[in-house]
Amino acid sequence: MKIRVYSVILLTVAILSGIGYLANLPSPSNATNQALRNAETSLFETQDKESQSTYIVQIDSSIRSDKQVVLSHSQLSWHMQLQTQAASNARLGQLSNISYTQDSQPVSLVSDLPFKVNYEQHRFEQLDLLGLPKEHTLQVTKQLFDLLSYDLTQPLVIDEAQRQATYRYQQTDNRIVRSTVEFKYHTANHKPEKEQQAWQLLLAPSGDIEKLSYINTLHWQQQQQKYIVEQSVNVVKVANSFTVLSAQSSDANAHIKVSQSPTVQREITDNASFKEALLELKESLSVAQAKVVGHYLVEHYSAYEIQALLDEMPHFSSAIIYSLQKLQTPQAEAILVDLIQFEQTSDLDKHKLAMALGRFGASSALSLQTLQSIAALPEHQVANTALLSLGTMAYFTPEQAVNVKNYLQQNISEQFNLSTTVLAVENSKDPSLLAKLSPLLGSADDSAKLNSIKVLSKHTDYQDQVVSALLASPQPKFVAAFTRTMLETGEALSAANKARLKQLQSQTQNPVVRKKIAELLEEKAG
Amino acid sequence: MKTITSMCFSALLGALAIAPAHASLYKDPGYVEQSARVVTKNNAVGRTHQYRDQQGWMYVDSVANGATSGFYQAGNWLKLHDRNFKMAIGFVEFSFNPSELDCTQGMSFNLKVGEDSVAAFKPNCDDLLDASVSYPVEYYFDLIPEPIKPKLELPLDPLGLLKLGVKFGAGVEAGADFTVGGVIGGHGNEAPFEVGGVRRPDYIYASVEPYVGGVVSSSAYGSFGHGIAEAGVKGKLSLLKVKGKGYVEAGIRRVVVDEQVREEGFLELKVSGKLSGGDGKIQGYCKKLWGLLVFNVDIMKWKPLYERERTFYEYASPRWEQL
Repeated sequence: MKIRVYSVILLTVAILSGIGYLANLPSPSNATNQALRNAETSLFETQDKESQSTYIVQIDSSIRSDKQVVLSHSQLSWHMQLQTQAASNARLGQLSNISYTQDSQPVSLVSDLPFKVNYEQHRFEQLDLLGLPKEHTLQVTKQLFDLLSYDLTQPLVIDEAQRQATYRYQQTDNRIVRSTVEFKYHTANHKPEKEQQAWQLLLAPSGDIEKLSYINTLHWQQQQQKYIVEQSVNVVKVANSFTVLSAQSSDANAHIKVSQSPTVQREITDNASFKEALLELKESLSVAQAKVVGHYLVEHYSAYEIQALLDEMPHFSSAIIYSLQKLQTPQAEAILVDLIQFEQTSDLDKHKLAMALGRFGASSALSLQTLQSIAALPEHQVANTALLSLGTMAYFTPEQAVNVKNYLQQNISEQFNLSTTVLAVENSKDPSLLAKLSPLLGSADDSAKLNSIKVLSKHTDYQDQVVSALLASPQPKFVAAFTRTMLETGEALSAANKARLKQLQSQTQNPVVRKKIAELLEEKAG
Repeated sequence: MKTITSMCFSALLGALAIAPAHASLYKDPGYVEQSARVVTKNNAVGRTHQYRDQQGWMYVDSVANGATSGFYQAGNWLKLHDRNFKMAIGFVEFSFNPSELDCTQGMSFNLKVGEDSVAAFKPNCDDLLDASVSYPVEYYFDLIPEPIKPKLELPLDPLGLLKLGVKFGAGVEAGADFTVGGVIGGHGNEAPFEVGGVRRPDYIYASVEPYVGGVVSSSAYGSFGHGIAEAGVKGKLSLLKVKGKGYVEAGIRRVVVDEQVREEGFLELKVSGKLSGGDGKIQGYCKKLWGLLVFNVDIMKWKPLYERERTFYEYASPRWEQL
């Protein structure tokens, strides 16, 4: 009997040495007992035990205030199978029965997740999650395998949530413990006030991982507030269910959807996704989405073709023109210019194009000249819009401000479309141009006079001149416009001007003038 | 009013002839609508609402005293985190003088978006000789330039330990339908105004319907707090679609009473409006510990209104009145 036992022991030791599972044999005093146990079990369960292991993993995370109010808590758990591959360090793996709750609400994740990992000298390395999206919660599997790794020969460097950590490992009997060598925080200023950590790996007699217990508590201080982040990880080996795992393709998990990601700009690949993108732009008015659509348009359509789109899809015409405006490239500018000059473009679209060219923000001489040539034709439906857009262009494209200023000055001296020019001057926000408007307070053109009163009333420097103009020509529309502007802007009336207006009020028979001055003086009283 | 015959008018005038004091017609209700729809918001966000108003007045006097003038305006503002932004303002400066060749000189329709005048139309009297002209205009506008976007730090958890930097923008869809027309004849104008041998209209009507809609968007400009793996903003808030409508009319005619030519006038002013929509939610979120802890917080939200239409003011002269 004794001889047989010894033979079996020798055989077992030989087998085990040959496979090389153990980097460190247990201390000599226990070797015999361990080998005996291994021998008894291994002969009958070699296939199950060596080729597959199953674990239950549970990760608990919480943040609480220093007064122990729990602000957020999650629990993530799964069954994990690891299957050895013949004559290599590779393991096929699978997570199953995945369960995740966030603040007691279940969050659905996939039910199974295949993966691959290497296991060499007690370290799990080169985890391959087979294309799982980077934002997916189950990317945490990498951190789990870091926690299941150890190295008795040299310290290990591990990437943790806020820092890079180096640990040294020691084995006592069947326990592995670790001590910290160094922490390197990602953001040097952001270190916890206090930390408590306990990590322990229990090994089975075979040397396999039997149990992992890990708990980490970090105390953070932010201004006057303290909060505590706690994470615990428990892994326990359980009886094998033994379903054979087969190798999966390298992008087996690429299709998995990530929940709660903010809206991602969808790529436009065909006509159907183009229409979807236009609809998304119409509903969101998003500048980022406009650029995507604009880019697609200039890559795939000529100006003629875009004009045809404007006619085919009038409900998308603003979106199409806006997308070119927001693209802000010379190519986009050239297309906008072509579109506004095509005879077949509708008047409504031409108005939009003029507004787009004014707000383009990177306007070249091309847009400037195009808008000028349209503004020069008094019969053109879009002439006024083009002129107003020139004023706007000076503000949105500072490089064109001087050219616009010269143009508007010329309009004033030539008395060309004065009333709209006054509004274009206001759009430009140029103070030196504003000064050129004062003479128009006495203009024979009623519209020009009215607009000059409106524009100059907003500036205290011109108030005296505006009031003089009103006294010289106290028509209801002028006085009403002045009152309205003063009340909207909240500008103060000087005492002298109050007195002049009061006198006008007492001298006039016109009920509108009397009422509007009364409204103004009442608001500005005191 | 428009169907009263000249005979009836003469009779009425006969009655009125006893007190021929100079009179003008003037209606000025001022602001007929001033409303704000307030957003349900996080305490960290300052006052946020969508405000609208409408105002108008109309005046008719003899041509020697300036004839007719008037004004109607609909304005829309967005207040975001305590700051006001002008969304869109549409208005008409109404002007009609049948004794002038250029009978609508001084009349203009304007649309302003933000601080800019974006469109202006000046109707020509000759286009309105028993005809009407429409000027529709609309477009999208990126309302708030980057440097002035309102910004705030928003706490993500009840105790304010984790903060997210958020800034707001707004995209606006604004436009207006402007219509103007003139009517000649059929209203007992016994001595119509003619300039250069061409009859001028008896009265002019104008309709201004400015409308606005849009979206409040937001983005994260910074994330605060320790160990935040990912933080940001999601969602959008659609603004109310607001459509105002001002309808104005004014006319001057001349009737002969006892061989004397007398001027008479009338005016009409009607203001109404339509509202719908206004929906959505903006949330801040933050993930910690490889996404195992997620915070979501409402930044602002509201629920849609069903379409409503209301008349805010309505007045029409019951008859032509002596001026």
